[in-house]
Amino acid sequence: MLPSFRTTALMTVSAALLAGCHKPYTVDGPEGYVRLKVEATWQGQPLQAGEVHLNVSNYRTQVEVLKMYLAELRLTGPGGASALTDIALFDALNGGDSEVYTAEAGSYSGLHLGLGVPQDLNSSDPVLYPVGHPLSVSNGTYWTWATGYRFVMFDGRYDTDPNGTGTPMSLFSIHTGMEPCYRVRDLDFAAPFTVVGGDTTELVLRFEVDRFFHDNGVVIDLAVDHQAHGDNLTLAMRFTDNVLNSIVVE
Amino acid sequence: MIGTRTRILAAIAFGVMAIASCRKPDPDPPSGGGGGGAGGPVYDPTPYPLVTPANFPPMVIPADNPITVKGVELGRYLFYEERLSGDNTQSCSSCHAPATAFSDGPNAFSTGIDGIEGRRNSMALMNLGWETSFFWDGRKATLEEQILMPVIDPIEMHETWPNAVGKLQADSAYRALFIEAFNTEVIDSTLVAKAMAQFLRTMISANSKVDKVARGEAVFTQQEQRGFILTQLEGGDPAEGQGGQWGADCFHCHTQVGGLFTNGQFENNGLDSIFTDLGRYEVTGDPLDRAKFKVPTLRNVALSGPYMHDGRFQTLEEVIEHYNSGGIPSETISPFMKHTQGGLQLPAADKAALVAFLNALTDHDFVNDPRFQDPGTP
Repeated sequence: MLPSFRTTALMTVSAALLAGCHKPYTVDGPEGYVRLKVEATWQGQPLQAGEVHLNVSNYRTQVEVLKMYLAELRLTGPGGASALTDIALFDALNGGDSEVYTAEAGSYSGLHLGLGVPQDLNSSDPVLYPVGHPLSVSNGTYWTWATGYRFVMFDGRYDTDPNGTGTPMSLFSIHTGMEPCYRVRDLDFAAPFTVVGGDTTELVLRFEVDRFFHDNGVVIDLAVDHQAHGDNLTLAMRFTDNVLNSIVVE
Repeated sequence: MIGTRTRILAAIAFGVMAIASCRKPDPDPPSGGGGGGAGGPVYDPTPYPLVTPANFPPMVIPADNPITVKGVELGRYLFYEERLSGDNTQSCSSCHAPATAFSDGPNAFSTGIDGIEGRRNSMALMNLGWETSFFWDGRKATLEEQILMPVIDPIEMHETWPNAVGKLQADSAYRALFIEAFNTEVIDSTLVAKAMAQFLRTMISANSKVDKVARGEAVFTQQEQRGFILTQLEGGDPAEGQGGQWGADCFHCHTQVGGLFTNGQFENNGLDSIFTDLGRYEVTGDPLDRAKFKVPTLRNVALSGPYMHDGRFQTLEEVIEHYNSGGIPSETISPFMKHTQGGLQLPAADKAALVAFLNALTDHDFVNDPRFQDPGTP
């Protein structure tokens, strides 16, 4: 049983790695480059770790960690699609994080993404990934007990007194993970996004963090819901929806 | 949820851990392989047969410093070489001794050649080939960079690199070793660091009882098993705090998967409310990094006391009591230290179980491995 499990895991990871080596979605033409930038904002302004803002509950809120996995990233359009990467880990605070991917030259109308780690990769053996790989255990994103990755890691402090001063002292730590928290979204560009062969074009994914606490009238009240570590799936799923819906592509 | 997670943990204990490596630690490196021929020393780039445990991630070895048999041999001599210090009395091993898992126990702080104490506890050395930052504050990103620092630190070995290299250069045995390892008899600090880094990358600890359980070669006692499960459970009373599972909550930082028992991150684990050592902040300048320190491995922790960056705790029991207390709130305390009010409330039996599990992480084969002991003078 055990060898077959390991063999299966190896085959899964190998298949996933190989999948990145060919182009399942193709558009005719030479390759260009897409610099994908992931950044966090609070009411439209870049969010720095440690800044204190009032959230929808009127709580003083200080975000310190915002890391997330994005998967299945591909440009889409009527002429076809172009895969960017299977999996990436971004730190969205302090000006954000960027990665450069190759893409088929062409005009695209949208971006497909998954928030989290898709099941095939989430069930793969993490020790197969070297330091530097998004799924390396050195990133500190793996839940041993769940044999899977944390998808979104959102940590910080809050204070229910809007007139408080200094560093808020109550802690929040919302980490999503496990299959029910994996979500995909198709984002439409406001104008066609053109990749020119040999050139680099920037695409910005903005996470509007103030919206993490409310969506469609449903509020996440930190005084009530301030921790999800795989044990509070209801909060984790609600939070995942809010994060997904907060994304703006530019 | 507790029941579910406990079942998962049981699966981890006897399942996931069991699929870990069946590979043995490194065999003895081959002897000979060139060098020292009748016409004098000869460059010998024979690769070192490094075999890493299968339950560890792949080790990333710098392309400009492949591990060779001769490089490791040289690095081992250099690790124990007292001439690297200003008065020829201290080597790396003076503060990183094998018997204490290559730390400086029982000293909270190490004393340099001028009789001056350092300000941070000497870190245990093992499995460094998988580390991505070095020193308690992570101020160096590679082993090769890290190795250069203690030699010139005025409160440690207090030497200059030109002097240290000069002493090695004057020794024909070292000139021969450098020819064999690097094809040059012109010694410099970069090559010294490269050789020592090669040696340190071979120092792999993966044969504790925990590893043997993972390989199906041993079984935990009930107490050790309980301790392991506690490390994987969230802390606190579920009635008082979200997610509480009456566990010890070790897993967030001391990640077991990958075999390293550290997440490689920097955390403030609630030692103080007023910071006397700013830790990671001294490197990044980020106020959020005040009093954050690198999360050390739990491997061989029973041998490597005293504990914390300042060696304030003498025993594992004291360490566990610190976490059981919940720690001291501060502006940068880790979000994982969720129970500063009320603590973890672990009963005495659970605290003893945690100590039992931590003791099971001792790798006697590693600390006694003849390949890592003092080779004498070259």
